[in-house]
Amino acid sequence: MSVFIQPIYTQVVGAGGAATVTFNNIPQGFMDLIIKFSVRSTSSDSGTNWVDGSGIQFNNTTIGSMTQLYGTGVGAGTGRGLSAMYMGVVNSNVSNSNTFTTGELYIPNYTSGIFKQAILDTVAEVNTANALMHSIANHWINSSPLTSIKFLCGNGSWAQGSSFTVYGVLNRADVLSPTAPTIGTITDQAGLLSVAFTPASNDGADSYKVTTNPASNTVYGAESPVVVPVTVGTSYTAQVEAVNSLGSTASNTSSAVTTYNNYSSIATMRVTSGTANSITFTNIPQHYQHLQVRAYSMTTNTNANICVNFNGISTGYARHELTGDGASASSYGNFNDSVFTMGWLSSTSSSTSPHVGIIDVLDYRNTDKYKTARVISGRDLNGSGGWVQTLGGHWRDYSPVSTITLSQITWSPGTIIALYGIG
Amino acid sequence: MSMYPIASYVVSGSSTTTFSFTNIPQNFTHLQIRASWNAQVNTSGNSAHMQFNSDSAANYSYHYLLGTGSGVVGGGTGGSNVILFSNYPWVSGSSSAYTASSIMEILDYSNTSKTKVAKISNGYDTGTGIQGSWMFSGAWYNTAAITSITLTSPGSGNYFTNSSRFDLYGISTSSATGA
Repeated sequence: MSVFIQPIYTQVVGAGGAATVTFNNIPQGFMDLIIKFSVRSTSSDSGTNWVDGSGIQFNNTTIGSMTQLYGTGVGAGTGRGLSAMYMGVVNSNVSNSNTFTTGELYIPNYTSGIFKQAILDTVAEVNTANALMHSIANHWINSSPLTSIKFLCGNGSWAQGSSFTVYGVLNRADVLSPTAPTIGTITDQAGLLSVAFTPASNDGADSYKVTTNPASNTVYGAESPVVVPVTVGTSYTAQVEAVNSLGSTASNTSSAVTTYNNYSSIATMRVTSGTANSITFTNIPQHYQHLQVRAYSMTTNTNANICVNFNGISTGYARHELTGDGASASSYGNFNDSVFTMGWLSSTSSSTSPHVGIIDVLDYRNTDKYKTARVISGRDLNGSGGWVQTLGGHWRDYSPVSTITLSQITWSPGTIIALYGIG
Repeated sequence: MSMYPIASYVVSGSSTTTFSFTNIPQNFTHLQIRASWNAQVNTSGNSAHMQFNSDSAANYSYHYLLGTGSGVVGGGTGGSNVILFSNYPWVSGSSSAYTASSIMEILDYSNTSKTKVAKISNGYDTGTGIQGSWMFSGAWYNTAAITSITLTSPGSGNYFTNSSRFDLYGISTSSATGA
């Protein structure tokens, strides 16, 4: 979209009204100005629907002249004034409620060293056969660049809700190539790259184009951040270009970031020979959202818990269990414990049937949360005993989980325990 | 950036007598319709007009100032069912298409404290001695935000001609005051 017409200032009159509305420090970088206004007076002019005498001043001077063409709804007329610039009539406070006069003031070449022409048209509607509309040619007999505009209500004040917006207009020759943005941080979102950037002030851009290295999809966006689909497991940098009809200007290149899959294997522990009395996952990456342990445990142990702790810490745990053994259901809870558990091995030993379990730890790296684990596990021995459990574990610590240790049983060959990260 | 294209309607065929811009986004401050359009006139009728939010009750007023090249005419009414945007005296039985260019603007269209007022500039010239420069105004005496605008061709049996084009724009404002 074009930047040829750009809003510069807006004023909306608040409660209590305003006798005048003034725009100061008008930027000198445009070719023309347009002021759109929607106004109403707080007063009535002898009880009529309109208030007359509203005027316009440039640079706080009172000089000006005008020629007007107007329609009344039942007729038309023309007139001339030689002492001031004129805004036409506006709806008074006795005209139809909530009804405001609509108008536009166009000032071409406002920074030039010649006298200024300002063309205005307004409509002041009422729900009768009569209404007033004006087309006015105003003349400011001054060759200075226009730096301020004042709108004066002819009788009373501008009512609450009266609005004025100043727009700057550029011609084609004035439009420049856009200014480059400043690249920010790019972050991995599991198969997506979020590219943040800061646009330059008044950069002249219609949109922003994001490209990556290595190349992936090219994505256009209206604002920061822009999300780009990428290939997981790949290191990327990104660059942002401000784009308009004359071309584009690129930012610097970002720092690199590697993207990870939404559900990826972190590490797998296998017992292939001998035994293991504990299994520990260390240096757990901190860029996932959640963790999951999937355990396939071969063990001949009986009447034992498979215990779990985080970060090598043996305090601050609570655990609760719901257990079914095929004949009855039971529950158990404990707090201020040194561990939580992944499951209980029953009194029946087996060297052939595994114990299986899944541990989910959500928000494992969130430093505003204690860590909660949800576990489902069990082992069925084909009528010789079995055990299914759903367990909850709670670690009263804000630390990110960087280590997970399973212990207190002896794992035999055939054991496979895997840690996954979830994006 | 301040002026954003919202929707365009380009007439296809020879049967469009009315159409609507609907679901108008509420995140702008003003609306503007810019139109280059023709009307095939088969019967004399009323003028091309607009309505808001499907309101066809007598909740409008309109007024106009017309220059014909040889005179100036003013007119209008309150208690209307429509807002006119062209009041050419369509000639019954005419098979010619007449060209008009229009800019219709509604400030503060989503402001629920204001009656909606339309300011319309309209002009046409047939090159046959039939021409006009119009200034229209209209008001919808309802403070509801405008969510749809319906435009209707002049009179029963008449229609907008093929390739007539109406473009709806949203106009934003500034957060700086310059006070």
